[in-house]
Amino acid sequence: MSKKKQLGVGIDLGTMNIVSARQGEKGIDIRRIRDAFLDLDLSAKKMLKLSGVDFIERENEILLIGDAALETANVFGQEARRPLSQGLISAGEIDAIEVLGILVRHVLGEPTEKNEVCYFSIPAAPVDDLTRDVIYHEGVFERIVQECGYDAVASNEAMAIIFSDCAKEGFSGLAISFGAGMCNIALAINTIEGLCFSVARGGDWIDAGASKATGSTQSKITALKEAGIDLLNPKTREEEALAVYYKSLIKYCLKHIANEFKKIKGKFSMPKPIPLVISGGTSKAGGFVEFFQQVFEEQRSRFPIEISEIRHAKDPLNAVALGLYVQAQNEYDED
Amino acid sequence: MRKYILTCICPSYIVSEINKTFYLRDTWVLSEKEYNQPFVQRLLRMGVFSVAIKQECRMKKKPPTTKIPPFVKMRGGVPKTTPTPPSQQGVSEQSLKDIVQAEMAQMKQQIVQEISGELSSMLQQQGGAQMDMEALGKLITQSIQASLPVGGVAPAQQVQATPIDEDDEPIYIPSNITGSGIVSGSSMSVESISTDDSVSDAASALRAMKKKRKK
Repeated sequence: MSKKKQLGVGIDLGTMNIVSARQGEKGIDIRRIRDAFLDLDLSAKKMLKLSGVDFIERENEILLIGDAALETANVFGQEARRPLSQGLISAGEIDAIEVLGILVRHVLGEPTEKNEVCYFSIPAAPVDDLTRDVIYHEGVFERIVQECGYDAVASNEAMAIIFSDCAKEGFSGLAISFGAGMCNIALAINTIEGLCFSVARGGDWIDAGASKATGSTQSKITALKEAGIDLLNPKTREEEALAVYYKSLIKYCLKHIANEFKKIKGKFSMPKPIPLVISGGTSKAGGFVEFFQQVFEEQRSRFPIEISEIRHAKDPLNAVALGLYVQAQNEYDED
Repeated sequence: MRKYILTCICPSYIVSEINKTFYLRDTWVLSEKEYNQPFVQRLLRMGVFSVAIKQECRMKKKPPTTKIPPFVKMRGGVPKTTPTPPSQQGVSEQSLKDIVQAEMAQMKQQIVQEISGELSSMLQQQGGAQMDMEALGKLITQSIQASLPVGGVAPAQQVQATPIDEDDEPIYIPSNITGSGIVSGSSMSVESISTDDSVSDAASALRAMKKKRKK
């Protein structure tokens, strides 16, 4: 492999995590940081120093970023803030943009050479919420990545899964990225994008719904979910509520895929059945793929796309970053 | 001049500095000087308000332009044509009727001529034998089809109106996001793992596909 082929970076900018992937000495180096921050008074500085927590000092406050923000938030009885909401930056959140700049710079690090190609993920426009501003989101991240010294290239989040997990099918497949803020969906045949859209529901929507249904708090439900639940065998009321909302989200995605596919049916030929690849943090719940299969079988007769198999991405948390890295690396391939 | 529009994003909050209570979605318009006050910045950091920035600028007045509906909008560079006098635009019903009638009569005459010519040659060939009615039918159909005008008006297609660019709303993206000079302290922990090259197959498959396409 030539030295040129070692170049290229992929960065997945998610609501919950920011993940980068690039070639390392022993394989692919994956760097991850929690997409959260917490602002504290300067008075907390001493305590933080004693506890050994890393922090960033601003003019008149202290900023905890990443996992430290989530962990410390409980100690101070606060909620950690999230720079992205439902997968997108909200316009006007100047604080969030500055934090995102810091997070991205730390995860990306310095470029190997000036203007190294960096593919960054962007969601597709949500079909169920036309008010969400994807253009602003893309513009902000493009600027951040460029300011870090990279040549920034925006690429669809779900298409990245096709590049990371559908090589054996000639980069043909239907990919669903179940994220915290939204679900991104892409259909591709031989790398050619046929359908790309998102729905403004994801893991956060499940947590909010389940907490409302059980009279619990969202953070409790999130903690319960992250501790590990079995969707096929829910034990408590909270787990049952979670399973109901998971099922609803899967049905919602399948319904929208069918609707969107009908719009392009005549323009897009699919010579053979394609795989359906599931990825994203929300898909990490126990038994998710089997649960998805059960829901899908109920809908199969009405589903307009022939599916050969339903499978989990090889690395569901990092699939998007890896797919973006594949595309970035491809830019350096000699002709 | 910049204006900062602060929108309250919490149920209610008392801003003691100005002795005012803000409720959800209440707005507060500030000048740049007011916006930079420490207590305002603190409120923003606490997540009490979200901020939208409005840039006021003076623009040269454009001459009033009449907007043309999209379906008649012409591309730039098309020479202007003198408008047709109104008397020529309308066609009277009677004159249209006369034209159609004249054309119909001409077509009828043509059909009769063609049929009679063919019929006489067929009768000559068959030497007075009984006329084949099926062949006669075919002949008439062919003659009518031949005399009908070729082509025709294509059915009206629904033209999708292209939206006229209303003064494109610019998107403000702040510059110098990563180097805004506020970070002065320590580092932060980034989880870092090294995995086996699980995407090397994908990379080589993509490379092969690219080569194949070039050939």
